[in-house]
Amino acid sequence: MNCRECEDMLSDYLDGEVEAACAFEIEQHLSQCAACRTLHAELCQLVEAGQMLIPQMGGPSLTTHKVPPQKLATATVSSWSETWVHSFLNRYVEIRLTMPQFLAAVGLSLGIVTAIGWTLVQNSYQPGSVLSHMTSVSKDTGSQAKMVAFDPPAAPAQVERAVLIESIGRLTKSLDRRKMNWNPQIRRVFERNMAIIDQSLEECAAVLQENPHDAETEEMLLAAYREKLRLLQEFAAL
Amino acid sequence: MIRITRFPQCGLIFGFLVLSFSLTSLVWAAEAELSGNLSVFSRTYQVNPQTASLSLRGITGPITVTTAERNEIRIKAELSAPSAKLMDTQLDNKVQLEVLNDNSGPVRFEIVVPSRCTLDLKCIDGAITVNDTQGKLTVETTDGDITLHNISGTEVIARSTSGKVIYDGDISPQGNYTFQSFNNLIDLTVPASASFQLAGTAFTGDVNLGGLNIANFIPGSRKLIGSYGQGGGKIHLTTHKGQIRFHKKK
Repeated sequence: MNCRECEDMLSDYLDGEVEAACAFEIEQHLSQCAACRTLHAELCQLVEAGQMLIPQMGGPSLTTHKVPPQKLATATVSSWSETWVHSFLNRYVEIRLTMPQFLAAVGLSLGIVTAIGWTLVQNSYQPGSVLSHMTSVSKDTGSQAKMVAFDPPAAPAQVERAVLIESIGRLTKSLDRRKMNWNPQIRRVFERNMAIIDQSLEECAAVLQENPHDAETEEMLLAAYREKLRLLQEFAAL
Repeated sequence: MIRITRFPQCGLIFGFLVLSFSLTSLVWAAEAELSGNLSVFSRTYQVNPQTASLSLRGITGPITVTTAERNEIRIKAELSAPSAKLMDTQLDNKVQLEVLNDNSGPVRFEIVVPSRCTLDLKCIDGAITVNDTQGKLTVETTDGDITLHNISGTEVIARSTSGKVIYDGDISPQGNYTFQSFNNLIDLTVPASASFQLAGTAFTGDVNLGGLNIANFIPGSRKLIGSYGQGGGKIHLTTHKGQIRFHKKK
C-alpha cells in the first residue's frame, strides 16, 4: 500500500468500515510511514473533538467518514445522500446534521450575510461616499426619486444640494472648454455674474458653518445653487 | 542699374499691383461701412389672440414687448452685427424665435403681441421690458433689468441675476408671482386693494414695505413671510444682496 491509497482508506479505517485484510495493510503502512502516522493521529483527534462537541449540541453523534487533508470545509445533510450533490461532496467531507441543526446553520449564515450587507450599505450612503456620489450622478439622468429612496437619513435640501453641486460641476467643466469661443462681452457677463453667485455661496456657507440649522440661509444657499445652475444652463446653450 | 525700358513688363506688373491694392481697400471700406449699419428683421405671424404664445431666446440686446388687440404677433429686430442670425418658427399659435450665433452683437427686439399672449422671454445680456400684458409671463435675464408695467396676468416669473426687477401690476387672488434678483433691487407696485401672501428670502433683510400693512411680517428677518388683505395671491421673493421695495399703486 502506498501513501495515496492509505490516505484514501484512512477515513473508512477509522470508522471501522474496512475489511480485516485492508485494515492490516493500513496498519502495516502506518507502522512504516511517519507522514501517514501523523495524518492518522490528526484524524483521530478530529474525530474525538467532534464526538465531544455533538452531545453538547443535543444531537446524535457526528461521524466523520472521508477526510482528505486538503478539503475540510464542505458539508451536506443526510437527506441529500442520494443526490448528485452528495456524490460530489462524498469525495471531500460529509457531516451529517439533523434538520434543526441544518436550519440553524442556514439561519446563522443568512444573518451574518445580511448584517455584513447592511453595514456596507449604511457606510456607502454616507454623504460624500463613492456610492452616494454615484447615485447623485444617476439622478442627473432622471432618477431623483431613486436617490431619495436610497438615502433616507438625508434631508430633501441636502439631497437637492448634492444634486445641484453635481450638475454644476459637470456644466462648469463643459463651459470651461467652450467659453473661449464666446465674444468678450458675453464672457465678461458670465464671469461677473458667476462671481456674484459664488460670493453669495461663500457667504451662505460661512453663516451655515456658524449655525448649521439656519433654515433661511440654507434656503438662500439652495437658491444660489439653483441660480448658478440656471446661469450655466443658459450659457451652455450658446 | 536696371532700366525699366529693358523690362517693359515691369510697368504692367506694377500697375496691376496698384490697381489690385486700390480695389481691395475699396472692398474693405465698403464692408466696414455695411457692418456699421443695422440689418432689420421684420415679420408678422397670424395667431389666435386668446391662445397665442411667444418664446424668444435672445443673447444681447434689449427686448421690448407691447400689446395690440390684433390677431398677430409682430416682431421687429434690429441686428447690430452682421454675424447675428435669427431663427423663427411658428406652429399653430406658438411662435418661437432664437438668436443663433453667440458671437453676434446686440439685437434690439420690438415686439407687439395680443394682450393675452403667453410670453417666455430669455436674454443673457440685456434689459427686458413688458407692458400691458394679461397672459402668463416668464422673463429671465442674466445681466439686465426687467421692467414689467401694467401687468394683469395670474402667473408671473421674473428673474435677473444682477439686474433690477421692477413690477407694476395687479396681484390676482389666484395668482402666483415669483420675483428674483440676486444682487439688485426688487421693486413691486401693487394695488392697495390687492390680497396676497408673502414668502421668500432676503439675505440682507433689507425690505421696505412702502406703507403696506403686511400681517405677520418680521422686519429685519431673512425670512420673508406675511399676508396682505385677504391673503389670496402668492408672491415669492428672493434676493441675496438686493433690496425689496413695495409701493401702493395710486
